[in-house]
Amino acid sequence: MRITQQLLNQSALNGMQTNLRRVKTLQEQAVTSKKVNRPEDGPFAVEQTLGFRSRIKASETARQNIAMSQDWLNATDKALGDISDLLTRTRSLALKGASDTMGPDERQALATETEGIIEQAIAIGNTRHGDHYLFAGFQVDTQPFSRNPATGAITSTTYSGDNGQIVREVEPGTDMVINTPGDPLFTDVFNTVISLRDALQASPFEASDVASVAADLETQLDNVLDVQAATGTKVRRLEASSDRMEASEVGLRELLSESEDADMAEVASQLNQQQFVYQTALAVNGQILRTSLLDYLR
Amino acid sequence: MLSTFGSLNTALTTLHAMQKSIQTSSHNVANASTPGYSRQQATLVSGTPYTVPSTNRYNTFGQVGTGVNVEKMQRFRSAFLDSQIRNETLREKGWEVRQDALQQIEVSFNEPSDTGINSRLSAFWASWNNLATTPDSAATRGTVVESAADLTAALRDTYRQLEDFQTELDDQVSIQVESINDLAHRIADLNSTIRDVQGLGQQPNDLRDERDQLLTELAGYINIDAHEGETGSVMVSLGGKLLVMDHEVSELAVEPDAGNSTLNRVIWADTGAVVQVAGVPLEGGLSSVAADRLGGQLGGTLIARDLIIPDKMAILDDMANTLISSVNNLHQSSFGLDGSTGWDFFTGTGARDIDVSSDIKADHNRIAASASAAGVPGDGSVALEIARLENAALLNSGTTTITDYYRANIAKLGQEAQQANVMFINQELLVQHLENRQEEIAGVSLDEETVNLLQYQRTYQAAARVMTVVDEMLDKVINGMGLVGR
Repeated sequence: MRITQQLLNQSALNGMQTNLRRVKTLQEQAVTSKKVNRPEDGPFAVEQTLGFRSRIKASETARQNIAMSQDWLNATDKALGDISDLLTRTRSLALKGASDTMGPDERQALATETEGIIEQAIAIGNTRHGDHYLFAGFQVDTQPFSRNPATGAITSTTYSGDNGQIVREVEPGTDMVINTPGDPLFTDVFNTVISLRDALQASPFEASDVASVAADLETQLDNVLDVQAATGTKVRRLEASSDRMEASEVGLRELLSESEDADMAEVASQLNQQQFVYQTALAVNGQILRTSLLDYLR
Repeated sequence: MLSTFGSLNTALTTLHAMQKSIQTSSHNVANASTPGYSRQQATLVSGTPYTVPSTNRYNTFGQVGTGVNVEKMQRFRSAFLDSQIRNETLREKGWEVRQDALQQIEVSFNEPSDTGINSRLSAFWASWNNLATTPDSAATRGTVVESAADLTAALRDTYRQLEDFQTELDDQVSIQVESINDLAHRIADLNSTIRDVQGLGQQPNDLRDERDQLLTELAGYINIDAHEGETGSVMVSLGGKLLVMDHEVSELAVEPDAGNSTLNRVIWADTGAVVQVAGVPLEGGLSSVAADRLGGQLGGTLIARDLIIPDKMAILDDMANTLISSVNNLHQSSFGLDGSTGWDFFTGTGARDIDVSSDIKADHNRIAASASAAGVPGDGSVALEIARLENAALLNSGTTTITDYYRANIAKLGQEAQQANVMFINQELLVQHLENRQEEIAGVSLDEETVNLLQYQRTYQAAARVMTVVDEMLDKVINGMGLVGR
């Protein structure tokens, strides 16, 4: 093999170019801390990376929405708890009123208290969560319950909401109805309490009427407690699915990091090694390329 | 009887031959780093021997040498290696262009990143999910429009970048055709000079070097066949038709191809026929199988322009069209916060012009989240349905989601770029290897030239000494002899 200076120069240049190319790749990894900076660096890894990112984003959004649904259900739970407390109180009033030992004045006092309870119950029916009425169906911007007549003793209520069921996604593909339309649940409660008040004020007074209303109150309380229990179950279900998503999100983040993050310690050590190789090449080339026969001839 | 001055003449031929050799060495040293230069050497042959005339042949000694002659100027170069270098250069350049193109496309797609189409798609679906939760929130509605505008802008921008790149490559085609014509003319000019010089019985070595360089350069553009005729002319043909014949050139030209969105096709200027290379016509409708037979910058450029870029544009179009039809389909039959219905969410006919409808941009309450007019404002079920399109298999005949389709194609882009990289690097190494082998033969070694110079110089000195010896002998004969009678 005949070796010329040009050949030596060329192979020195090629060698150093190859070397520098590797240094550049490692440097890029060190600077970006990513081992995959463009699709060609790892087509499969990029496909995975993009998938993980989409899934993490979707999971984040889902968890945000779950948190909002949880807030809504918690507010519902609280309102239903208030209603059931009211109903319990109303029932004890009814039991008191049903006894024959009471005089008309005392019954009137009970009736007045009941009137106050009706107003409180309507207020609970109009509970807002943020800007939205909890018990208005789809009509979240409209106050669902109004009293009739506007002033004086309440004889009935009007429901301005609808029976729309607000559906949210709990987990990908799984829906949950998160709202409770106020009618008929609340309307029945109102009417029962109104009929208690009327029974207390009735003349002639029939204790048996009050007693039968007390029985109705029992039914209403059961209804409210059923709905509250269902709400509680939903909250717990959301909690569980949010926890599960959070756990899988952590897993996804780990996978994402595995597929796209560079191992910095390894990059640093490889970079060191490559630099050493480069320096050696420079030193060797510097020695060889400088010499020629002319150095040794007179 | 030998001539008295015979030896003087012998020495003189030596002086001439050594001068010529030194001249050649000097030329070699001067061109040690000239690209394409081939080492030369004066080929020395001993002079025609001379039979001393004699009346009685038996008593005389045999032939007498008459010195040295330069027979020719030899050029060291392997024509076989040159043709191999040309073949591999053709492939190298082709892959280089494809590699560059794919890398530029990778930059256009900008993945993986937080600002690429993938992230924007995720943000778009997330915004519909949020709208499903709070259908009457102005802020959420704003986010839906914003994220959709971000997504459509990314689709349009990427598409436009591809279009611009395609136009750039189309310009490259005309420029490259010009370069091919220019190289062909220079080769034709050298053909006539070389033929003339050769006709005089001389060796046009440096001119051949130049022509070989030009041929290799030409092979970097397009697949040519080059044959040297007996007169020293090189015939260059392109797909069976002569591009260069002796000193004549049949030029190439470009013209808009109506069958290929008026992108340029390559034709013969004289006949107007489409140029065919390796059986592949250089016009629209390249098939990927046939295209692999093309090489060189021109071939690579055509592949990038007519195969690679349209392929990527189709991906964006598929995504845009699927978004437009699937989202609009749900959106049109649903109800906005203002109770209106029938609005398109997206407008456009593809990735080039996809946009959020100006009606929606004008009034965000027109975004339809509710399945019925009565469902307003609390019903977000349609928003949820639209959000669920994220996981709907809408592409590849209903087998792939938009996101997965995009991801798979980005992976494919990566694979293509990777393949082009590997092919280019391999070809580069192969060409380097062949060039090194040519360098072994044709390259100038300074050490070698130094040794040769040393030898030539000493030979010259020795020949001069021979002259001095003869001169001294003659001095003796002329000035020192025959003093008798003086």
